[in-house]
Amino acid sequence: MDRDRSPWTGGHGVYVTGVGYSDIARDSGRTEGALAVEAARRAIADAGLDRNDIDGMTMFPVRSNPPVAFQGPSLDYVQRSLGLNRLRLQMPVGSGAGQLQAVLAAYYALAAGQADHVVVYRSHLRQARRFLPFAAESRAAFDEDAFTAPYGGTGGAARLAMWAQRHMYEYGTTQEQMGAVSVLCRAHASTNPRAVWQTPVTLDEYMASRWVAEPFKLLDCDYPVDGAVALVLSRQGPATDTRAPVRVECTGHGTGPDTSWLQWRDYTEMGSRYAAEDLWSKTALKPTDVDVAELYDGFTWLTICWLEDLGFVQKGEGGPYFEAGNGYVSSPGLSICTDGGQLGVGRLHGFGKVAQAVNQLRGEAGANQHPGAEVALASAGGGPGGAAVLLTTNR
Amino acid sequence: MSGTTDHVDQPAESPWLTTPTVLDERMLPALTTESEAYWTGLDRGALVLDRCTECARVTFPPVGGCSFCGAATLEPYEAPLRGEVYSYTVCHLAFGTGMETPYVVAVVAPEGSPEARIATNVVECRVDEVSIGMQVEMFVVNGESQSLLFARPPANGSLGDAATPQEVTDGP
Repeated sequence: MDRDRSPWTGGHGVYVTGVGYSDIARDSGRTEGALAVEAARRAIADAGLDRNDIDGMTMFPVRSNPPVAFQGPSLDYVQRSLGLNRLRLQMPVGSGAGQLQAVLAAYYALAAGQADHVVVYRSHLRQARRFLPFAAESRAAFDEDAFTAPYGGTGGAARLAMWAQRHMYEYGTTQEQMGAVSVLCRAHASTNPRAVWQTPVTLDEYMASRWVAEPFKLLDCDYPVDGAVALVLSRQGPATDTRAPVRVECTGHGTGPDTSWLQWRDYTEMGSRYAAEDLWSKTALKPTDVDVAELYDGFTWLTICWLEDLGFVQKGEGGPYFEAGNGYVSSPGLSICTDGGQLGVGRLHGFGKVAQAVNQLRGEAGANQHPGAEVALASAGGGPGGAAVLLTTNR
Repeated sequence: MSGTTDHVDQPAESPWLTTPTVLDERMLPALTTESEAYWTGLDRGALVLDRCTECARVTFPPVGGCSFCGAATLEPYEAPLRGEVYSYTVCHLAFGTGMETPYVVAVVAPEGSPEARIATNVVECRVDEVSIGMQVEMFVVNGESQSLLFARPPANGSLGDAATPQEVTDGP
C-alpha cells in the first residue's frame, strides 16, 4: 500500500458453513425471489442450521425502487419468505468492490460480533435487459453512463473490451490466449453436473464464434442463466463435525484510487490489484500456497487479469500461462475455475466462485476435485472494483 | 495453434464508420449541475472540462471536485479538440442502446490533459483503421435535443508535434 494503514486485527473465527445453489437454467420461468429463497433454504440446511439460528442477512446489490433487472429480489422478500424473525443484521451491499462485497460485509459483521450466522446471496435472472443501465422505458443515462451510453459504450462487454484491448496492446496478449480460458472453463464444466454447458469447446470453435465487442467474442462472455447462490457464514465451525471446516483466512477489498471506468489510470489492471494488496497484507499465506483459484470469469480476459494482479504470475504473463495449458484440475499446480466458471456453469455473478472454493476444501467437488485442496481463493469483479476471499481448511 | 482473428461477420472490406446526423435515437445524458458546463459547451462546439485550481488536473466525468487531489475548487478549461485513442472496442451488438452496428467506442485522452478520458465514437474512417495510439480530432454533432462529441482521423493525416500526449507522473 502507498500509505500507512492500521494493521489488520480482524477475527480468525469466521467460517463458511453452508452453501446452497438454486436450480440453474437458461430459462427457468421462475422469479429471482424464488431462486434466492431456494438457494438460501439449501444453504441453511447445508450448514445444519434452521431459520432460528440465522441472525444476519446480506445480499448483493442494493435494490432501487423501482428496481431494475440487474438487482434481483429484495432482502425483505427473502427474509419474509424464509421466516427469519431474529435478525440483528440486514444489509444489502452494492457498488464499489463488486459482488463479493456482500460476502465481505457478512464477514466484517461476524468478526465484529454483530451476528452468529449470516445468510448472504446473489440471485438474478438471465436478464435480457442486462445491458441496459436503467429501465428499458428510460432513454436517459445517469452518472458515468451519461458519458458512455450515448456512444453505445455502456454495459460490461463494451467497457471491459477496452481494458482487454489495452492489455493486448501493452503486453501482447492474444485472442488465442483469451480463448484458452474459454476452453479451460468449458472443459471443467463438462464434468460438473451443475453446469449449464455440458460440452467442451475447442480453440477453433472459440475462434469461429462471432464478435460481441472486440476483442471479445461470444465465447469470451459468461453465459447468462437464471440462478442463485447462497452462503452461510458463521462465527463458529460447522454444526456437524463430519466435514472439514472451511475458515475465512482473510478478505481483500479493492476499489483502487478511483471508481471511474473512464478515468481509471491503467486499463491493464483492475480493482483486482487493490483487492490483492489488501488480501495478501492480512495473511502469512502466499500465492504459492494456494491450491485452487476460483477467479472471476465474467469475460475471459478478467481471469487473465485476476491471475496477474493476485500475483500468481507476473504482469503480462497471464495469457501465456493459460495458453500453455495451466489451470486444469488434471494438470499439476494451481487449479483454476474448477467448476467451469461462469463461462461454463453460467453467470452466478461471483457467488459461484466462493461456493466452488468451499466445495473444493470440503472435498466435495466430484470429478473436478483438486486432490487434497487446503487453500482456495475466490474472486469477483471487473473494472475498477473487485473483491477476493481466501479460505482454508484450518488444518 | 496460431489462428487469425477473422472478422467472420464482416464483409471483406472493413465497414466505413459514418458520422451520425440523428442523435435523438440514442440514450442521452441526464444533465446535472456538475455536468451542465460540459454538455452546454458541446452545444457551441467546445470541449469544456473541469480543471483543478490546485493541481491543474482534469477530473472527468465531472463530479464537482478534484478526484486526484481532493480540492474543491475547479475552473472551466477549454481543452483542444485533439487527442489520442487510449483504447477502443468495435461493438457488434448495440447492448440495448439502439446503435447501428458495427460501431467503434473509443476512450480518447485529450491533448494537454490525458488524465481525462473521454468516451466517444470514432467515425469517418474504416473500422480496421482504428488503433490504440491513433491521433484523432474531435468535433461536435448538434442533435435535435443533445450535442455529442465525436472523433475522426485528422483532416491532414496528422495533428503535428503538439498532439503528443503528456505523461502524468503523479496520478492515482
